[in-house]
Amino acid sequence: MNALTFSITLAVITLVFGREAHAYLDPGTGSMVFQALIALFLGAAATGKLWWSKVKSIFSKKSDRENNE
Amino acid sequence: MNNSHGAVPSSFRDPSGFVFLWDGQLYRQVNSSYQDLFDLLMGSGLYHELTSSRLLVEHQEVLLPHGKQAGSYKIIKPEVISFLSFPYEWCFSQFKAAALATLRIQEKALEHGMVLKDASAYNIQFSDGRPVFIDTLSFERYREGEPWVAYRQFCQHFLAPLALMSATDVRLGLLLRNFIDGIPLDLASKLLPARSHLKLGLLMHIHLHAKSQVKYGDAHRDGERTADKEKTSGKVSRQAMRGLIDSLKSTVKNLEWNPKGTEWGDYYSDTNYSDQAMQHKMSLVAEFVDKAAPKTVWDLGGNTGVFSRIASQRSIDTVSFDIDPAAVEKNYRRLVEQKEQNLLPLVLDLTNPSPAIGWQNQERDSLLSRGPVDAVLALALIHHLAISNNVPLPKIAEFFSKTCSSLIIEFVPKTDSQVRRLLASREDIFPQYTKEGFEKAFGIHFNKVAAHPVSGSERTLYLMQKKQE
Repeated sequence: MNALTFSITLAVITLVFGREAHAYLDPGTGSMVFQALIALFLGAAATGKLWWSKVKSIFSKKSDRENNE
Repeated sequence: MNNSHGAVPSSFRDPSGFVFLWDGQLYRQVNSSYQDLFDLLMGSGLYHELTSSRLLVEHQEVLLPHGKQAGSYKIIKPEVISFLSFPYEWCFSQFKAAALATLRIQEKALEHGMVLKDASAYNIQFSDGRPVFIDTLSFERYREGEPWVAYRQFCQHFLAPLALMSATDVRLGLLLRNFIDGIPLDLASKLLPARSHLKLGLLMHIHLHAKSQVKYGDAHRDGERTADKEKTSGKVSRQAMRGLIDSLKSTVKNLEWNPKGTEWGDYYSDTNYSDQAMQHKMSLVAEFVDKAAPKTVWDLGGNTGVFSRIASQRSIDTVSFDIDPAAVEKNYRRLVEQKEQNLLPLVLDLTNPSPAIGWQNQERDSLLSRGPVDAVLALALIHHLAISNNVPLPKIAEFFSKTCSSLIIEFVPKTDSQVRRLLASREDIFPQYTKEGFEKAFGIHFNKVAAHPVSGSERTLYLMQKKQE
């Protein structure tokens, strides 16, 4: 293993353990699994909300323009 | 806390740092291991954004005379909260505000590349009626794809109690005295009414979440942990994280509780006070408060805080306690609406005040050890302690002597219609409960500074000063 690989490995290990040392809380295995399960649904919902508010703003701009003409 | 030096007993779990007392002042040590994250918090703009919106306590960097210890990066002096309160003492709206503040902090943290590594309700304190986050070292770097480690804790500390208070019974907030890491989700799931399954947020974050914990969580069998770790490294994208916070936010927002029908909620319309008597009592209390000139006040049995405000409006730090969640709720709502300061309403049963809990019973102080205060208001209270609760007058006097230096107390005699009501359905076993008995019992610990009958009533208002030892 050359010097570069070694220092990269070290950095990764520090990152992993460094992270674990700070996130000291027991997240609960079941909770983590559950979060991963609902992630897709929640992500889609968040995207959908964003899209819907964009659509609404397009239509409200349109109706403003129509009223002004 | 009696030590003027030493680690604070509740601050030991976080490897990033800890809180300690030095010379009676509160400090927080930032450990060297937390250096990068601390710098990120300060440098990314997150600290500035959170403090300017009053979501996080401010701090100053300081140097202490004993110099820098090994392993210490910095010492900071956080802003002091005048009275520490705990989630089992909060009314519904305080709890809701605390939950929403935590989520808003998580949102803002994400915008700056950070996340909250815990979501404990004990990270929130109240300052001028607003929830503020006190754990400056609670921030961790956000890594794309990683789930929120504090999700479980948020659901147990905030969502479960709020849901139970809203949908089952408002008194269930008290469960947090017994469950120091929040209400277990399987218990919350059992106690919630069936119709809570119809609310998507509660269905997901409480009911299904609870089932998931049971299914995956607690089997610590060999090998199973590693397998689960692989499952959990399934990604939670940034968008999913946003969706999660959003979902929790709207679930909390949709939880409502309105004070009605609890015993004391309509108190002031049900008292025997005429307007004249009320006005006179208010001016008397004001006169006594001015005379005592306290810096801190506890209003015990303060109901909706009418008299507490006499002190708080004089810029005196006032805590307004009452046993009835409806009264405290009304008190708090008014405070928020009017943007009042120096006032903290809390729920308290004086005959069974908050005990010390946690590891070695030292993590969360009992109510009484968070005193004493300069002055206590004990208005329309004594008959509830002496008659309804059978506490002898000398014991009541002794309690007050440990709690305050100045005492503004109203003696409510047996001829008073409220006391007659209390005695209507029981035997009068209180021969000592007279004005003379009262003055004698209190005279052991206090000097009578002033006494005034309240016009339009049978009651007498006293100003007392604790005797020098």
